[in-house]
Amino acid sequence: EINLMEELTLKGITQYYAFVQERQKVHCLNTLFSKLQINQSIIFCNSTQRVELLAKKITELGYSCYYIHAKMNQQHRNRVFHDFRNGACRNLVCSDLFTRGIDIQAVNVVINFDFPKMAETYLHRIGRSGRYGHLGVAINLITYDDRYNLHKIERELDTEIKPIPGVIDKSLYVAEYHSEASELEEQTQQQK
Amino acid sequence: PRSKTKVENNNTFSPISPTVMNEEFDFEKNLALFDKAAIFEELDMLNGQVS
Repeated sequence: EINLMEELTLKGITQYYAFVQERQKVHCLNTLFSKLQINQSIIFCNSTQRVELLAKKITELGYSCYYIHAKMNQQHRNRVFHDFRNGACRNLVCSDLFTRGIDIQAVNVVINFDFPKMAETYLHRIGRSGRYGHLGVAINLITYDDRYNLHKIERELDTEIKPIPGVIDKSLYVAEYHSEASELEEQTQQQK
Repeated sequence: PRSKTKVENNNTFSPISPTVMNEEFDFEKNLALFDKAAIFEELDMLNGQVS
């Protein structure tokens, strides 16, 4: 099934940024792992080398992760992605390989460890197929050097990436909480 | 350039002391260092002047 870029949407995805220095990124990510209720996550880096370095770090921190990048052969990539899709591992570190958006419902957290340079890349990483919609949170680690790209991407996609709050409401990205919140809302409306 | 990449990767992936790592990253304190609204206003103005 062909899924054109036009069909990708940011609807349903709550987008946040955390301001960091390069040397704080791994610490920041470690805190995100401990605070977020991750069903499955995808973490994006801007180079194949950084994918490998980050995957190693994440493993050292005690979290399981797979990684894929453009320099791995297609067969290997497909196998890893297939296993990730089947839920064999919670976290996937990768470079920009998805040209049609991520279509894995189980992924509720996407982290841009490195912020992309192009709006199209951002949309491919974060956007979902509008046909199915999605519930999820996207967290962007932003350095001072990323300010131009942050500005450009927000303007081009006509979207807003907000500062990360102290507590992220689980109903924004965790399916069980979302349905509870929706039911409560329905009950309230029925009572009115 | 390769040397710049190497420096950046060293910055990002050099070891962090376990003491620091065990503490929560302070999102609020770091966000306060980045005035997004002011930066965006400035960039919008620059873009406006160019076009």
